[in-house]
Amino acid sequence: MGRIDVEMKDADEAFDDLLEPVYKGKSLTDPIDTAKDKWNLLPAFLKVKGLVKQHLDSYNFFVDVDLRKIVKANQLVLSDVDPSFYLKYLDIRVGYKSNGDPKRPEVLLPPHECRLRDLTYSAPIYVDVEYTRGKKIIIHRDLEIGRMPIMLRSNKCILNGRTEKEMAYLNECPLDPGGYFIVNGTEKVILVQEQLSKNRIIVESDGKKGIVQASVTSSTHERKSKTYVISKNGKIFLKHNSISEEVPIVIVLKAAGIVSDLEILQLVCGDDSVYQDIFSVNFEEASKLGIFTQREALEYIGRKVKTVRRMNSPKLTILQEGTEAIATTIVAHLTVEDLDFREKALYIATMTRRVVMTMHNPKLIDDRDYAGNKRLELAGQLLSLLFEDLFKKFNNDFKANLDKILKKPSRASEFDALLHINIHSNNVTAGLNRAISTGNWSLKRFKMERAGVTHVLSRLSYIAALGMMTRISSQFEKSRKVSGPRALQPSQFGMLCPADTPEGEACGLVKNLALMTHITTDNEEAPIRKLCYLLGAEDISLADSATIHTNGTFGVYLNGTMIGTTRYPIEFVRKFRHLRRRGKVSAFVSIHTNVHQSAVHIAADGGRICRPLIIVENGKSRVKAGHLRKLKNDEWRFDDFLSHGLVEYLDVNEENDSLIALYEEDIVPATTHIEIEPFTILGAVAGLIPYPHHNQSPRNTYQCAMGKQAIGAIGYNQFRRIDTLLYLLCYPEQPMVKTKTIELVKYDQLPAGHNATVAVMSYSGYDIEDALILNKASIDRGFGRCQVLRKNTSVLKRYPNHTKDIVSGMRVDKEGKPIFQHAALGQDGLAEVGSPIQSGQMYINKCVPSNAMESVVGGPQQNNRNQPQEQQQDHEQQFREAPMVYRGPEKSYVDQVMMTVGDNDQALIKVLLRQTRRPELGDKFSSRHGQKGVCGMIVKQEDMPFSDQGISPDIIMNPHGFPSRMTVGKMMELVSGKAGVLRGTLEYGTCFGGSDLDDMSKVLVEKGFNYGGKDMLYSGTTGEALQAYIFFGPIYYQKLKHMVLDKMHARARGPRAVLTRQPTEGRSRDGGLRLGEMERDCVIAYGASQLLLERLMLSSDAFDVDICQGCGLMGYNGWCPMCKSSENIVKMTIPYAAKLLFQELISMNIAPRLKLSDVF
Amino acid sequence: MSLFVPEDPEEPHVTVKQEEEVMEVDELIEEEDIEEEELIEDEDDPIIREIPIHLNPIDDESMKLMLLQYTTRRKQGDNEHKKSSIPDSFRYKPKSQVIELELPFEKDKFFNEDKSKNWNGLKGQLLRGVVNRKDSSGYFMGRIGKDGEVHLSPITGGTTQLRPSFRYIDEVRLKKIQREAEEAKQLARKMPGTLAGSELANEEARKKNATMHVVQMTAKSSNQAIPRLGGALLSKKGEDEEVAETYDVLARGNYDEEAIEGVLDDDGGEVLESKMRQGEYVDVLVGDASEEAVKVSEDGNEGGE
Repeated sequence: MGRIDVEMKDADEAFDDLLEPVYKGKSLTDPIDTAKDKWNLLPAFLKVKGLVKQHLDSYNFFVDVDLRKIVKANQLVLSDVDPSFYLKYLDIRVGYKSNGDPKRPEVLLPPHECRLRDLTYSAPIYVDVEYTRGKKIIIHRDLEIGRMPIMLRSNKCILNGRTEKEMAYLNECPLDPGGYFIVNGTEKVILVQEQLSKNRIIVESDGKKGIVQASVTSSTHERKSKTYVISKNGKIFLKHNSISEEVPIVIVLKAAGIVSDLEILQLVCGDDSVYQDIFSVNFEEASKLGIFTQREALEYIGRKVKTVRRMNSPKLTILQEGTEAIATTIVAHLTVEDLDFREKALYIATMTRRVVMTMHNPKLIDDRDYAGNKRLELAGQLLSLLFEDLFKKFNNDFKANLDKILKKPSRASEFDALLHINIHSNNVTAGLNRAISTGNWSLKRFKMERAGVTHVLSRLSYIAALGMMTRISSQFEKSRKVSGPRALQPSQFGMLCPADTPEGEACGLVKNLALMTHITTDNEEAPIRKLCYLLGAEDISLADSATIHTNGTFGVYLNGTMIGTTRYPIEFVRKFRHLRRRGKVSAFVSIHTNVHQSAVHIAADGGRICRPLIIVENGKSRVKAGHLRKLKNDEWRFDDFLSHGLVEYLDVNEENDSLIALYEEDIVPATTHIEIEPFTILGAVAGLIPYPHHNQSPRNTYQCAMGKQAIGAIGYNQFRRIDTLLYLLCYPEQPMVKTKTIELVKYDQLPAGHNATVAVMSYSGYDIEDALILNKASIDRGFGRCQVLRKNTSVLKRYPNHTKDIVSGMRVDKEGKPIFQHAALGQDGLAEVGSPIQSGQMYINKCVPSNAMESVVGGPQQNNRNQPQEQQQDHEQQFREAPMVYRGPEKSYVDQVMMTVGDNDQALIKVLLRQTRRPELGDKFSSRHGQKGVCGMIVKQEDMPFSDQGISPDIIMNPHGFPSRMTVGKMMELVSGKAGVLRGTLEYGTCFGGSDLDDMSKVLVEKGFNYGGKDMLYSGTTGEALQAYIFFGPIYYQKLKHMVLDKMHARARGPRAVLTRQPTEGRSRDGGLRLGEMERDCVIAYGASQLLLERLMLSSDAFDVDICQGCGLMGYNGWCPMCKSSENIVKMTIPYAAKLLFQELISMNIAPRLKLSDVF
Repeated sequence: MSLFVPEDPEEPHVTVKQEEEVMEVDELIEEEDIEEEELIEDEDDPIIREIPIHLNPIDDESMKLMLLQYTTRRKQGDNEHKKSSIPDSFRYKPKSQVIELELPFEKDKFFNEDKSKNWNGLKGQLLRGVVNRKDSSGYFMGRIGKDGEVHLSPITGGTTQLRPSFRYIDEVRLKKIQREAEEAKQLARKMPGTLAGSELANEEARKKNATMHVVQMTAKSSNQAIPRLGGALLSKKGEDEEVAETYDVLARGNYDEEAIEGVLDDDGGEVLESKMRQGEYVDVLVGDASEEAVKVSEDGNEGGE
């Protein structure tokens, strides 16, 4: 590498700086500039929240809160046989016993051991139960009903709250974000899933058909269903899956108890005469059907209900069916238990009102793609769905078992239910493990099958893992070509990263969280409801129908359901916010006003995206220098800002109610908030790019994809890991031009790339199409050198007949040297650490017993007993070699060998093989600006151009890469980097900020360089000065995982497919190289028919056939079975595929006859 | 006798339990108003007059106040027909919390005798409502006493929105259906050869079968759980089975006004003093909501400005 590279010592110092509270050359006594230093809130935020806090929060919520709710909802197990029996779950805990400390979970196997031993990192689930044994009631504590996979770094994980030292002891990387599971040794992430929000009304319209519909997806623990209120030809109906036909809305409302037309009109239209006109036609509909009373309406609906009766449920009359439909089926998330249907009636009326409003003013439709209408489903929610399903199944199995035993009239001993509950505990454990390891979420009660929920955590690089944790996948179908859901929504600002999305089919559907995003968990509704009434909202069930929709009355909606009304919405919202800022209400409850709907919406549900902002009051930021000083002095944490009402979380909807200033100088009297730091609109991955605001936007997107493929350090424990495939960079460097995000995500501690000295110039012709010229001396010094580690696993199986696999020792030749195949093996039959291993040599000399499949009972054993001598003789032949052999174009070294016992008491051997690779022609590199290129030529240093100081570049890049890509950020990186090198500092290229280009130019000029970063270079070959000044300086280059060694492939002869006898396909199967249609066209056009014949037949699947010229069909061995003669047989060569086709045609009664004639 | 509410004529107050009319009902004052005032001090809002307020907790045993809301009654004009605004009868099902009452028709105007006959001699408008007993109502009955003081008595019996019940239509219809069914039966019996007859025969055969089945079922079902109705259906069944308590509606003068007033005005003579500070009170009210939120010291932001 060039001499300008930062020396290691400097890097270390910079590294130390970061650990100090003193930062960027500022000490505690320095004056604090609020405007500039408020970004310090961000590290404080990340210190508390971490990068994957959303996953951890969600999991913690599930384990601590949701689990209890699930158990409470399913707490009783009753027997159908014995009415006196019951079992009741009192409590559930994960990881600690009733007398244990919830904050100190039981010591589990450390996660790294689970990784190595292919185990599941899990903790026992304990329940307390109360049940009857005979006449006695017994309480039993700490009954284990299964094991719950533990999310790393969650509050049930042993890594929670550990210091760096303790982490090292546990073989764990302190920078590893956690948030994933270890199931059967593999790291699995449950990706964040994006969904349309539940239990909210969404109004949509189809302009062509003139349909307006309001729909709500009701979701409760028991059921999920969708209710529509839909307008057709001006009339409004209610539609639901379990009602066979659309029901006129007036009938539904009457069934829900709003019998008088007056009240219906009041609830739907209020006093607006336009709405009344639109709606009035619906009254006719009901009166035409002769339905006036609630009973008539209920019976009408009851007749239309599709009855699905479950076992044991009584047969219902039509009236009861109707009542049941209204009470539980329609808008299922509001379940009516008593006789008061008003809440539900109001909800349906509200839906109808929204439809009427939209019929009048089509602009009032909702946007499905709007981020405020989306909810993110995290690991916790998904696990809770799964667990509830498994828990129900567990209870059902238990109950079935109980009934079976209790049914027996006479039992020897007193029945103890506890003895029978443990049988099923494996179901819960296995169910959870299976779902996480396969990613198939199948929920019986919703009849839901979802595949691909979990993914293997990518450990290609630290950033790849981090990027995966912040990823959001959409439920939307990838194949559909729609732009709406893929487009960047303005409402995503600050919540989702605008740059980080894949290209191609998943573009815009897979998103990433921005740096400061938080995802809410569920908040209890009841206290908030109470608070609303306290703040002056009038309870909806007491409010008068006539007043609900009068002008100036605002509905108060909690999680989409109207709970009250208020005449003073502004005051109401203000007070509510006031209480939230005082910490009386959870910080994650959002409130906003919607003037179009005359509504105040309060949201307390989980899955909303929100982010913190600084509160501005009276035109002044609430955060003052003093606060930041406290933060710096470690007196305050981020939560203190929250609790003192200086900072608050806003979700997307509430953001719309606010005026947020980007910078302090933008504050106007109406401003309500100010951004903490503008660059937080980017995510963790896009945050690596220096000066991204100067790049063309797709370039940033490309870099986001490539940053995840860069080879680098993956964790402090990388050498302890045994992963299937591990790429490590040998000498990674932190970038000269970093960003604040880089420091925050600790990329500078686990970097992936080198600071290469780049000359932007043309050199030879081997730099076309973005190819790079590499300096051989740089490569010798370690530029781009990486290690590839590959895991090979073998299990020594045990068989039912008490035989088992063994590892046998090495075999030696006459001279006592091991034979070639066994060269790498040691005495124990396993490859020795450090030994080189060539293709064809084995690393585990495993032997399988040849009689493994023989049954346990029967012949051989008896024989053995009778003839023990013979058995001993047999012993040698009993095993058949089944070694693990290394195959590869290049030799490897044995890095680690591990032998352990896995889950099922079978010995598990893992051998890690290592290759060290230096860059070669065709290896892929990229800068951090979406500029990728392959190595086109490696040039000796003496042939490289050099500058006055004798500096020669590591990389020569062709200038044609710039004009069309417009990656100005890359040029700025070079200039800043060069200035930094000369000055001895690390420079910043933070988005919307960073080191100023003018300052950098000044530094360059001061140090005697050109202000623009251009140098005079001399040709390495001739020694003449180059005719132009060359743009020359350090740029951070990443080595990408695509390497020639893994891709090179050629074949002369090789395997063929059985059916067609054509060469196999693909590198992994040593396949042939296809001469495709387009190549064929070229050959035809060129007229090289013999080449065509050779390529398509002779080199592929030539086959000699005997053709009978009499019948034109194929014969064999010079004999035509049709004509029963060998008279007219002609031999010729055709493709085997053609022969196959003929035979297939014959098999379906088509006779293809070949009529042959001479061409010449 | 004055059923009059100046602010909100749709929500006249009737106290149930053996008596009476409400006196000068002034206005509904919500508990929260007081709370609000503490919360946010209004500037530029001078105090005009101070009125002593007596909070009269009513013993649950002695009296229950219940608020009836007439949802269909119009805002204006009802005062002219006072007769039709006093219920004739009052039925209450305490378990299922259902109230039914009948408002008599004004027979002198616009009254159609024939129609009334069609509906089994309907005499008045049937109103029905389910009592809402949420604590959140915070409704009080206010009376202005002799010295201009305000007496507040909490509504402890719940509130009800009364809606018209068209039970008479259903009854007529059901009767008609019944009658038709019977007629059909008789017709079938008279003409056994006809299609209807055979159907009837079939049905009777089926009925026989059904009864046989029932016997089998009962034998079987001893081992199985009894099918249970859930939620609203259970409540409905409960209501149908419950026998209503009937109450008399007493006009003013027909009861001991003094005694009632005594109960209502009894404030125990104590002066109420708040034991809690506002913040503590809010904490108590908000309860769990603040649990997750960060705890804040009462003086709020002592920030570093």
